[in-house]
Amino acid sequence: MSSEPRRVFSLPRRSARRIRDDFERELAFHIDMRVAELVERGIDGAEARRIASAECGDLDDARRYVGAIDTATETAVHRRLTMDGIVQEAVSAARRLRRARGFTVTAVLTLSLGIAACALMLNIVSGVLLAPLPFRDAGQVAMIWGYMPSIDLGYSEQPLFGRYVTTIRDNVTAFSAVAAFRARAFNLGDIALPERLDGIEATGDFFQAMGVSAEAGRFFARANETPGSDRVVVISDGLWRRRFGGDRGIVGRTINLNAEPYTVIGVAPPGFAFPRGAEMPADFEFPAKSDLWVPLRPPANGPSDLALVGRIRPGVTLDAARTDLRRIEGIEERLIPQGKGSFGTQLVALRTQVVGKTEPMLLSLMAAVALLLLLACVNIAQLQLAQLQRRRRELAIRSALGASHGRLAAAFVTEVLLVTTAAGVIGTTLVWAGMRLVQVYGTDRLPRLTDTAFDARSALAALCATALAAMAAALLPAWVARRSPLTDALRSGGRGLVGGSVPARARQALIVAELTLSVVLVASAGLLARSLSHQLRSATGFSAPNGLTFEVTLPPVRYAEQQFRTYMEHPAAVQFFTAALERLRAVPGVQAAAIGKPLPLSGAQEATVFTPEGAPPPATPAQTPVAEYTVASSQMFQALGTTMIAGRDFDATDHENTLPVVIVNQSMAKWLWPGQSAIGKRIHVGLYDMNPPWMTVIGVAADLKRYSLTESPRPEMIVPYTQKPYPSFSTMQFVVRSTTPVAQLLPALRGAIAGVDPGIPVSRVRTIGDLVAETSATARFATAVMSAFGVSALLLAMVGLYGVIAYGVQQRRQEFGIRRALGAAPRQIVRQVVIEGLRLAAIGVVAGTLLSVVAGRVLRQMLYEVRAYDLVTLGGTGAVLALAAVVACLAPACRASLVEPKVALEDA
Amino acid sequence: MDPANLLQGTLDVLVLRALVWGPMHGYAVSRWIGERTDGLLAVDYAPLYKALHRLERAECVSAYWGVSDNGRRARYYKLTAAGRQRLRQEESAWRRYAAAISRVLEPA
Repeated sequence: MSSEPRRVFSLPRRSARRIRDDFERELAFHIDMRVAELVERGIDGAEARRIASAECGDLDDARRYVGAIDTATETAVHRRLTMDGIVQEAVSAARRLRRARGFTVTAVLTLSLGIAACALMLNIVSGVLLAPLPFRDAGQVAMIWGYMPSIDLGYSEQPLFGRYVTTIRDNVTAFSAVAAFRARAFNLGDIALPERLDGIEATGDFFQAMGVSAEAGRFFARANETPGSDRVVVISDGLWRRRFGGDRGIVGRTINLNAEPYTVIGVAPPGFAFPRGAEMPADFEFPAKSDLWVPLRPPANGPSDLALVGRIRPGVTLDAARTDLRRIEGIEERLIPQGKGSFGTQLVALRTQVVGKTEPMLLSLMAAVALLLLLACVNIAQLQLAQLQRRRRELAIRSALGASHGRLAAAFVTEVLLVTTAAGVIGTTLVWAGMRLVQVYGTDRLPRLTDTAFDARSALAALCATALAAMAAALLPAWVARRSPLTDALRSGGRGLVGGSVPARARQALIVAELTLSVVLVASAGLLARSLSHQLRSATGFSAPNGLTFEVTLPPVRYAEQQFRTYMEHPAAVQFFTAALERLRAVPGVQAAAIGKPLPLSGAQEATVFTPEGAPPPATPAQTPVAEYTVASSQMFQALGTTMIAGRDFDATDHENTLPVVIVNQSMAKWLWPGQSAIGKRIHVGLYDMNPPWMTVIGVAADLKRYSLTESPRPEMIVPYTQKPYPSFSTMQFVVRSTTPVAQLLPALRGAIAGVDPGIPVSRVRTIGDLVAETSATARFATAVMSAFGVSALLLAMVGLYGVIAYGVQQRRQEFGIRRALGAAPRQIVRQVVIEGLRLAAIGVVAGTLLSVVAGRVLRQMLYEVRAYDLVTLGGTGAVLALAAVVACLAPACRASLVEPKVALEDA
Repeated sequence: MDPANLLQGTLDVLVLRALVWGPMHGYAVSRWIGERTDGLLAVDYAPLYKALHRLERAECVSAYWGVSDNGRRARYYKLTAAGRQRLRQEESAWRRYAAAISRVLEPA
């Protein structure tokens, strides 16, 4: 009699046929035994067989009954044994993991980090880059911008004139719809307590071009461009829910916008907030998200301040549409011959517009995350190898007791699964928290991030990828170890010599790989950080520790203005600003208060052609000089902390009845009048043959950064708002410098504005520091993420190195004992161990540095004034790695030096 | 007693009782029942094996293939802990039942 061994995992299930056969065999045995018994009693064989079968009873019934019952038993037993096996395996794996606490904690943390980083980037990339834009046939939507190759305005996407909409509608067949739009702020509600909203003025075909359908009501159309039917508004889903409680009755109601009645005709679909500031060129200063849309009649004249969006007809490619669009250049040139060469256009697919600038950064970070994951896996392999070394005896014993390779592999897999599960829980929590952090931190500069929520699929994908990678990383060493006979381990007492056995050499190769990868990540983070610090230290032209900026928007009903008119034509607006400045300057603590349009790093900049006095006429009108054009009050430079290099600021003597004056920036002065004083020189706005009044240069100011910290300075002229000959007054930016902290000042400043007109809200309140921070937000984001990766990589590499060295020291206790016995000082032993660690680190640093140059070239679009082979960064990285290596080696080195000489005598 | 009228539960008790002596194959169980009752109860194979497999399904016995005394492969049945408990319950129920019946039949 033998007992049935309980087999785990590989329990074969009996087939129905097998069950039947087994039962027949059982019955046959019974009958044979009965017959044998009867024969023994002297009954004849044939008679005995007859008696035996007579005793059977209803065998067919029994066969059916037993067949059914055995099948059920088989299933139940199989299921229970499998479950038992898994539970038993998991329990024993958990017990082993608990015994190797250091290994378990390190492995779980390493993998959590890998999963979290991987899932987070995957989440962001899939949300921002991969998810389709929420518009119908979004691939057919494209932005149309102006393009003047002869003039560098510092940005490539230039605004267009209103007449382009009509020209394109009438002449370019490639588009089924085209619309122009621009930002406009609205004060919603009654005079007493208005709320400022960011709105968009758009021509009739806007929603048709975008390809969205109304949540409620309808959108406006081209018919709404005509006066009389243009006081209609489409509101965003967010505004509808927040302000109007999601009431469908809102359609048809009238609301007050800028003190004028508008009829709500529709609600945009949820999530529609086009255009969002982060998705559009920075110089357009579109709001972070748009809350309402009103119809715009394509302005026949006026400044070029429109963005155009078009829907390309189905079947027409972007290139074909681009070619078709070029036809308007000829039309424009026939219309305005002197502008020849300045009517270029460009067509940019909406997706490219929205994420194009972010794509390289996100892909770089994704690549970095892949490196980090690789590093995490190498670390797991490393840890597993160490575990394997430590467990050689245990494995050998289990193997000797009859555990198959499959059984041992199952044990490994179970351990890794347990570790991965724990890491998955921690990692997913980290991702969830990370996404919230990213959304708080990154939405204003990363496009589409508002729509990107925590995505369980990304987390799951990252989890699976990491689990698979970890499994491979964990099984590889097991597979390597399989080749070295485990019985050796029994004989040799489980001693592997560093530099000798296969696993030891594999461990050294792995640690060098880890160090190399971490050098790449640390160097990449270093490059981005250096680039960021260059940006932050670059001369912005302003500095105001207690500077505050804010905006006010004047409703045109009460502050009427006409384009192309002088100051005299909008006295109400000028009176408002003059009175507001007076009150602001009277607030205690205020050192200087001014208006500027725009303030640096805070808004769309006008540019204008101009003519300097005495210059020869340009060869073609397109070669007429261009400069940035800023409107300001007195004290703007003082409030911003900008140096006046020569001359004076505007003052009360500069008004509509005195000589027109202008302040130029340093770049403009150097460009126009190199080696001379600019003071007293004269320029006028417009082409050579035009005849507006001459403006006399009264001052030269330091260059101001206008759009980004990385731009190079461009010529700029600043004119006093009291003599302002050109743009609109409707939205103006204030800057206030004070001796007291700005937060305390804000109520008083609001009070000052309300004192002039209580119906005008103060909005977009930002400190001067905020302006710089917002402008460098993308660089900060990339640097922060990459630094996190770099630090993680460094920690992982240190853990790995520590593991290798500590293990080596443990294995060579006897050797150290002999050295001590032979008179080596503890310090010598410490040095010896540290040098061994440093030798591994050195190989990693050299290999990593070479790879870092490659990584730097990948990152170069994100680098400002830093080269890919930046010696400071690479040198610094090497130093950091060396230091990290020393720190990682120190503890084991000390342990080695403390080995007692008597250990030399111990039995190995 | 006619074997055909043997109650199903009674047969189960007998089988369990037989297995108290240790693991047995089906033939040994039938021999044991025959011997214990001096041949009074001769159980047909069909109901016997139905009972054995039923008890296996109920986890009162576990079965495995072993080698019999004469060197042939035979299916052995072994009482499980659940089987022991079931036997105890059935035994006391049976004793109470038998006592009740004999009290009825005894001359007053």
